[in-house]
Amino acid sequence: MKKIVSVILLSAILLTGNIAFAQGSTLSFVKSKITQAKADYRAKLTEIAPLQEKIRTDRTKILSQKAEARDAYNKAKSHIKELIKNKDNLTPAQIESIKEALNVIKQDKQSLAGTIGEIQKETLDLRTAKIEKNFDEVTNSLNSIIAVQNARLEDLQRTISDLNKAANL
Amino acid sequence: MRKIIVMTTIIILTLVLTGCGNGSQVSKPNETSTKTTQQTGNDANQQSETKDSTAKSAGSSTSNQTTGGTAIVAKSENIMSSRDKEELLNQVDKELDSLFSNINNLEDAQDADLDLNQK
Repeated sequence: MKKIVSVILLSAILLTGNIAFAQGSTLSFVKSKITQAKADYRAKLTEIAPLQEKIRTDRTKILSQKAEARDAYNKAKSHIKELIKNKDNLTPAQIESIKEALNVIKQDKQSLAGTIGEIQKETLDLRTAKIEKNFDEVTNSLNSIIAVQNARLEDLQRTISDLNKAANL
Repeated sequence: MRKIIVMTTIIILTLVLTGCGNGSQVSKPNETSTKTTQQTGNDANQQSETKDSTAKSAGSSTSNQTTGGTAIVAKSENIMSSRDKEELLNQVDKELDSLFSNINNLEDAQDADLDLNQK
């Protein structure tokens, strides 16, 4: 009887020790996994940070160009109103220039219209990618936003130039 | 018989020499290409706008034909009328508004969307 009790006690002690050991090793494994995941996340953030910064910088440039375009638009509008008042003094060369300006303005308008809504669409994709922690998709969306911004910067620069020309017809 | 022949010859000769038409009449310009404005005396310097559906190129060309005291100004027309000019300028004005509207409709990415810690 004593032997049986001793065996049971010994088994209990050994089992408890094994469980504790197993628990300890699992905990350290989980801890290392978490540490690794944190390191990966930081690496991804570091990778994405320049893209986010580029978007912010481009956004500031676009806002600045919008303000410039507004001024050029107001000048062009004032000039056209003056031309309407003095329409009978227009030379044939001026009329030709006005016709050319009209075509250029139409092209600029269409070009700008082509990117309206593009950033909004990419933003929605970005939100989904963030929720799913899909960093590749996050990177793709950010790069797409940058591409749209670059197209807009070119369009706005050309539009400002064309509006300034229209203000000096 | 001889008298009749002589009289007929005289009549024919008279008609040939005097001609059938009116000497003061001015030949008409080509009606299919231009409308013309007829001006007299000191009004010759004034130009009036005429329309020519066939003329497309810029600039204008005029030709003056004077007979007696009458000046005919035939003008190939590619100058716009005052109304057309206003219409063209109004169109430019409208397109400018439309262009500016598109500029204002360009949306931006928000900071909240760029921040990965915010959902």
